[in-house]
Amino acid sequence: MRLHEEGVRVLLSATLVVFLAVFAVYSWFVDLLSSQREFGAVLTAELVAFAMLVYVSTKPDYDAVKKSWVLTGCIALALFLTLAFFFSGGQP
Amino acid sequence: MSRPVRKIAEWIDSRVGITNTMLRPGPEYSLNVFYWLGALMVMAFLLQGLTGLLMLLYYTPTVTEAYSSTLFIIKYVPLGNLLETIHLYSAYAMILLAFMHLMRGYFASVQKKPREFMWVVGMLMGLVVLGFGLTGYLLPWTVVSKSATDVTIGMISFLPGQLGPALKFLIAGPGSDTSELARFFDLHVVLLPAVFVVLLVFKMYMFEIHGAAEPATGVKGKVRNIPWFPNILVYFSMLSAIFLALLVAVSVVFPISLPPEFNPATASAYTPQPEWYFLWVYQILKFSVFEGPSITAALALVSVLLALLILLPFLDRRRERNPARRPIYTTLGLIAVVEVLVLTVWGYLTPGQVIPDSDAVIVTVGVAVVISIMSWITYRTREQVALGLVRARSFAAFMGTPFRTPALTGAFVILLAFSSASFATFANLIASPWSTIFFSSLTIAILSFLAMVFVIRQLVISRGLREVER
Amino acid sequence: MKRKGNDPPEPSRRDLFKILLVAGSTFMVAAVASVFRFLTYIPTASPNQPATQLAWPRIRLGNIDSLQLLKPLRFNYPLVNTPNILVKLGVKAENGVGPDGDIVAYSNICQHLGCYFGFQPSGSSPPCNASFQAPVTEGYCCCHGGQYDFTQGAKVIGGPPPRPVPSVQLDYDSATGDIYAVAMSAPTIFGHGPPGTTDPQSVLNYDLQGGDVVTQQTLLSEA
Repeated sequence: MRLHEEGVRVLLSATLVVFLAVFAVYSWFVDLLSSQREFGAVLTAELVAFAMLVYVSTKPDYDAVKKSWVLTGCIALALFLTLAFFFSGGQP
Repeated sequence: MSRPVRKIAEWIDSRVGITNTMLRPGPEYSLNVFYWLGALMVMAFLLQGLTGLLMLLYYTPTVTEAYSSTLFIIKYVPLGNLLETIHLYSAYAMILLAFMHLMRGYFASVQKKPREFMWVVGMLMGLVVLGFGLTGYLLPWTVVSKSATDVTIGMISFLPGQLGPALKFLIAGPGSDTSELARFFDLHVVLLPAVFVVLLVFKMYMFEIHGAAEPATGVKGKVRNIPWFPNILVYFSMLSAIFLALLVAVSVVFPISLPPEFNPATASAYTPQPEWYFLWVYQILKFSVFEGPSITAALALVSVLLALLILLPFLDRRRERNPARRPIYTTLGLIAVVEVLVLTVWGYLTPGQVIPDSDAVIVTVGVAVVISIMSWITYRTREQVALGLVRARSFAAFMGTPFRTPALTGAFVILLAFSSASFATFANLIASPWSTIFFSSLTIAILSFLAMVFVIRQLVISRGLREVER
Repeated sequence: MKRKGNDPPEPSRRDLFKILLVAGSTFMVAAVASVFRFLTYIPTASPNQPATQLAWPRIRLGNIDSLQLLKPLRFNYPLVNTPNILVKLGVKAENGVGPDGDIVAYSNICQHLGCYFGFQPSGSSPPCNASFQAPVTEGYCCCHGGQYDFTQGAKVIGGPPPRPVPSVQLDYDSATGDIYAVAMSAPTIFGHGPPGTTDPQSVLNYDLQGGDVVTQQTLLSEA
């Protein structure tokens, strides 16, 4: 079954927006004194997700979206979320 | 845009007129990262201002409290560690961006008519950025930063004639540490930002008049103009988000830790080195030919080179911009870039050591000679490809190979770093001059070969030449 | 028709992407704005704790009763071979401590070429230059005629020295009358060599290598 290409783009953009919302809220509740590196990692993830959202949603069609950039962005997101979890000492 | 938003925007715009100036449509070729290095520098500057102002709430610029207040920011102020780290790495980013911006401007020959003054103002802004680095570095008053600053001020005081002592008095006062810190703080927080903003406004104004420079290889056909909203705004938001993400990422992974405070006991155990962006000048001063009173000659030499670079638009009067047709100009630029890189790494590897003349000559002249030879080969081959004398799929295509994939570009960068480091090491460790010459030539040959291809292909948008190769 | 890379998306999708983009931008800006929570925090420790003072040795120099008016005393601080002069001036002076604000201490190493200079009360003549009368209470260097006005923070008022000598920060304990040396205000101690040096080849600036930090009182009287 082949997913509709535009649908993939919409799904990806919507996921990114949800992600941005969740971690924007989270960043307002992190303790700025003890969890600075965690805050920084979350902020990095936010910025990467924002860049990806801009890239994916402003291209004219699915083919113009270079998959290598999307993949790089996803890897960066995963990396920094892992780092954020690691810096928080394992406590969610 | 929806109707009410559009109406409000039009109401404001008819009074401010901004969509006819800063926010007007731009050429399609300007959606390329190399056109935005200056804008990223402005982002970095704003970030510096923000993090700096937040830290200013807790920093005290006196000799007795500079270190303790900095330590307080890092340990007890919320977000203090992150702010301080971001401030440091953003400073490094600004200097790196300035260097890349300069290189892009040089190799794409943007300083031709009518942009000569933009070049001069840009060079002055570059000096201000170095000034920011110099003045800011002293403020934590650690043994590393105070020793490094003293070395740099010593260098300044040896500028020729009355310029040296006068400049030293201006920025460091009569010689007591108290006056030095007070003046550096004033420069860093008040005077240099003001000068930077004035120069920036001037440069932006000229940019609005002249627009973005065309690619140096020319444009084929009609140039499409892209609307500022949303296209250019979107592109720049993406670039800034990535830039900020990189900066915060590096700050998170490598948080700052303060070296010990400056006092006689710690200072006596430490060999001072200037900050990395001054290492190349410091390395030149360490050449034994410039020892003693001749240090003034070394500084005069560096000043003259800098002056030539600032006055470049008025020295280089040819209209030609395409680097493929400017072999000597491009080669001189490449030699300068590689020399600075090699001198920086070499300086880092030889703290406090005087460099014998033989080593100095081998490194500096060797780099220049080998790059000139490689440049000659490159230009001849390109000529022959263009004239149809060499098959495009052969050697010329090979020269383009390293940059067709990201993996090979990465390999090139690693090779570049390794070559610079090993070359500097070889010049010191291998006693026999012949093996030094052999190894250094080999390394520099690989280095400059790839640098040549990189510059001609990547820094300048060269669609025309790529088509010849197909 | 293939759309070029900078064209906007198809009209049917354009509004949806626009909404998503605006929403995403708002959240991103909100996340970055959380940095300003910094301004609402109250730091837990008091600011500007003078950790500095721990790095400088705190040396008891002596009691105020042992100081005679205009009689200088020499002591080593912060290293064992960096002599300084402690003196009670009789007039309120810059950097002065004590009940009258007239006790000062300055480095004894001339900032010109490193000679140890002498102390001349106003009107007196130095041993090397009997025809010269000190216009103010000053340090007079016999090597090349450098003069430091001790009432004005050792400001250079004559001769070749390029800058004032650094001052020793003193702490006067009014309960016991003890005077302590606690720091140098500007540790620009010019070329300290072996004691008593008048060597003009002394190294320029900040060469403090090879000195041991002072750990106890070394007050000597000036001959």
